Amino acid sequence: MDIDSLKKTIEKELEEIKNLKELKEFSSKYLGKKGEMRKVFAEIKNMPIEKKKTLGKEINEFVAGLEKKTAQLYRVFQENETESKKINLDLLEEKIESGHLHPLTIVRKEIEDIFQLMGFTVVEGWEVEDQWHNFDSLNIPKGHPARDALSLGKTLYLRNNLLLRSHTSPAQTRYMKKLGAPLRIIIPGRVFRYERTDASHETNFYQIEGLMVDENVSAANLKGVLGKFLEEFFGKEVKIRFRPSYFPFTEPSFEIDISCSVCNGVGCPACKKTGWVEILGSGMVHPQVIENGKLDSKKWNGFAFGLSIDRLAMMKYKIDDIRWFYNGNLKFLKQF
Amino acid sequence: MKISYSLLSSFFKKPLPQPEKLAEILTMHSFENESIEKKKNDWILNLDVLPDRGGDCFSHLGIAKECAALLNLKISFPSIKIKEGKEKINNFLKVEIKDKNCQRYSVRVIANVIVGPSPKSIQDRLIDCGMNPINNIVDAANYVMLELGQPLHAFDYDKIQGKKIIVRKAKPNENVVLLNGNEYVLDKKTMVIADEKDVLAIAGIKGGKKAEISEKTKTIVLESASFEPKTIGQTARRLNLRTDASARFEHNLDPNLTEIALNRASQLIGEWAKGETAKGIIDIYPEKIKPKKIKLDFELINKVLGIIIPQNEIINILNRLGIKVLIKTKYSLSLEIPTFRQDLVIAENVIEEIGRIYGYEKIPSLLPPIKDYPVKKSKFALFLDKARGALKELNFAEVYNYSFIGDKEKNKYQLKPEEILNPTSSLSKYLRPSLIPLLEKNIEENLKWFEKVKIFEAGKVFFSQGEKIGEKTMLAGGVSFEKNRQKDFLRFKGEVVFLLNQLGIKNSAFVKYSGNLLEIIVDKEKVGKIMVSDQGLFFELDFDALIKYANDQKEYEKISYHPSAIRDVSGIVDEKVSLEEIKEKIEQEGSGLIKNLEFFDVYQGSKIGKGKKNVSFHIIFQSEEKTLDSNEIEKIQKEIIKILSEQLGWEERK
Repeated sequence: MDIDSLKKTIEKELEEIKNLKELKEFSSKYLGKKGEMRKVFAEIKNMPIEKKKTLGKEINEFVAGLEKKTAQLYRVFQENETESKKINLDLLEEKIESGHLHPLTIVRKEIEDIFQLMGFTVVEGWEVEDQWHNFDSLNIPKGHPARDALSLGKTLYLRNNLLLRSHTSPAQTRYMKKLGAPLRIIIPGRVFRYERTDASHETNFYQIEGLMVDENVSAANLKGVLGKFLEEFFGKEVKIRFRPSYFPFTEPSFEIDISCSVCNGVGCPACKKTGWVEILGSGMVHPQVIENGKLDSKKWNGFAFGLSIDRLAMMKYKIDDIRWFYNGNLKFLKQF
Repeated sequence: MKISYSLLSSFFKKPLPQPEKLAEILTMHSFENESIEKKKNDWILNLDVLPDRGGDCFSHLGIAKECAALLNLKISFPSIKIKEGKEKINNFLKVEIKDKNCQRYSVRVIANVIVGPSPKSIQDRLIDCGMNPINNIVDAANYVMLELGQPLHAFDYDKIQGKKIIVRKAKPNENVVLLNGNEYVLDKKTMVIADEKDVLAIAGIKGGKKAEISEKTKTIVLESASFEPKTIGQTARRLNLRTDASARFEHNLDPNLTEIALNRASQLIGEWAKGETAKGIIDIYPEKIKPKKIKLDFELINKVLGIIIPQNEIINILNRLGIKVLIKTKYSLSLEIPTFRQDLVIAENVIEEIGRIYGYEKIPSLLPPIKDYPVKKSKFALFLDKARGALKELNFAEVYNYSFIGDKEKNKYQLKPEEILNPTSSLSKYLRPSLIPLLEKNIEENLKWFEKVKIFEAGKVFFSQGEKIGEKTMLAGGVSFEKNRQKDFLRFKGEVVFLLNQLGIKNSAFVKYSGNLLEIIVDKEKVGKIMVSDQGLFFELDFDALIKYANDQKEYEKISYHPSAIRDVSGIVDEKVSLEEIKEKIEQEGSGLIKNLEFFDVYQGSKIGKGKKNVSFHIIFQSEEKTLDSNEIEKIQKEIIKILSEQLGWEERK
């Protein structure tokens, strides 16, 4: 038996012990009732007396030393263990990272949820459109002042008479043709304008188009649906007003304002001192547009509306520059 | 449109409501008032006249008619009296119309005028309404335009060659110097007013230098005309020259207005410049515009507005608007629309008039009844939002980029994007064919502020499709590298698998295309890719393709109470054999008893041999029915290794 190498092995193992669990394992392995050291004692029992004496003494001292060291270590580890169970409630919290949805995604979903509860289906439109759907189908023929307001340096044109839709309204006739009537849909999507960008103008932004077609739809229904939407989105305290407007594809047309949330309707720079903020355009679908959607305008009528998601998101989060939505800056995006 | 409160008041004997009150009434029933400016002796309203009403309401008279209808007042317009001289106008001038886009041309000649400043009060009012006073002739024309909406133009008679006015199309490359001093080169789409030699004015837009009114002017020709609106609008835009006149002409002015306006201006010039008006008018008006007739059913009014307005109230409103009721029956009205309301064409136009005058605030709010429509989102919209949610769970932040890219991205990624014909800048010349270029740019930018960037975007990309331009929705994500690129890759690929699983897609496969590109395959269809770049790792999924495989069906998997057993396997294969293939073979051979497979080491080096790799993995065996004994496990393991060596050239290492 090589006592020296055994001692070395044991001492090395002892040095590597890092916690209470390992220490307990070590103790039972070497110092326990069935431990290695017992086996050594059993072996030297049968040795000649002289050897037994010297070796016995050496081993006894070694074991005593081991016991002392393990007892010491035991105290240290136990202390550490109680220490690690202690909690200091005064320390500052850790910062938790999560993923983020874009504010326009969040606001779009919120809008969709409200309309879905009123029976509107969410469908997608097309970003590349032809001139007929973007303009002509909506009573905006070539040379019409409204077409020019949109097209004169405002529409982005592509080859073969195609363009990037300047509003979500072309989806109106597309879905009338595709789904027929009755119909209750909202079409959220990206629209494009030739713009010099500034705090409130972008070359691409988001609109939601709404369309209801049925046998007996009235302006009172339009008022009901949009009034309910605005109330749900902005809260009950918001005041709503309908005033005359003009869109070539609706007749009558309404502009819908809500009381300014910054000044509560008293008048401030945000609402140009009027106390009101324009929030969406709407109206009863022009009979010609119903016909362009291949439906009989004698039988079917409807209402339509369009609103800018960007604008609602800017109001909701008090964002002062529309360009934040499209520059990919995580300092901004991680706030949502 | 700037509206002078005092000029507006001059149309009424009775006082109007205070400016603020009047502005509010107009906002709610006619046009939004944007602001009220207090002037020395006046208030100016800034009305946002709606585009379909430019024909009658770009004038104080038009707004006065609105006030009359809203407040039930009578308009009193000053009577127009002109003292005509003895000499007949035909002795002065001849007019010839050669362009049918000139619908009416009315002129008077006024002799012996004394050109000078107009009365101070008139100058003030012109300034308050946003115009510059020039002289008593031009000011009279402009003032009448403010009053009645009819643009007028005065020429210096002595400068008209041949004493003849010709309305014609411009000759190709014909030149004209306008009153603003700029020279314009015209084409044959442009309608001009000319004498026998030169262009005197661009019709409906602006006068020229040649026959400009000066202090020396003695005799003037005063023009009051009507032009086809689209022609004027298009010319104004083509020349990028928009004037007070063109803004009115492009909005369906009433051709019947020219004569009244001409007489009104002649009267004012007579008063301010002491001129003598020649006898008679030259008035060329080939097709006189007559009032339109519209039939209006009471039932349609109720149907559209959703409110029952008493019949006598409807008739009262129509009368106040100047719309004549020709015939009334129990069910309908036959109406005659005055020619100044060119915007009223169909019954719905008239219903809008009734509604707004009656008051939209009186229309009740009525939610339509819920019917048997599908109210769910389309599957596409639903799963796209699901995917967004899954990526958010994985700590990705969502970005929205522009739909445009520039030459930099085009060249870097060797793209063939569709071009925009009129791009806003050189950085946005093309439609994006992929989301990755701009995501990579986002990562580069954000690494200035963040140690790690993890972003995604869902949006349309565009591609050529023969005659058409195709579009599809892509879902793409990117992460910046950290210390260990291999670990980054494993994590990233795991995230892509997680995302696909969240969409109900369990059978995706990854096929190596090149050293930095993996294709993502579902059911043999390529649905996306994982790409390695200098900045980090990217995935891009074709959502239009992917949506076919997405589903939200889920079935509970039985949880086994029997213990599992782990075995380690290690072996050498050709480096071209992918772990995907090894995994597939093992799972096929495992008779459903393999719970999990974990590759824990892949090693290549000189010890192994060129073109080979050492692969080590754990197989975790578990049965749902029983506790597996070691003989069974050994048997399956042997079969697996047999298949691997037969089919993939696997050499086991022990």
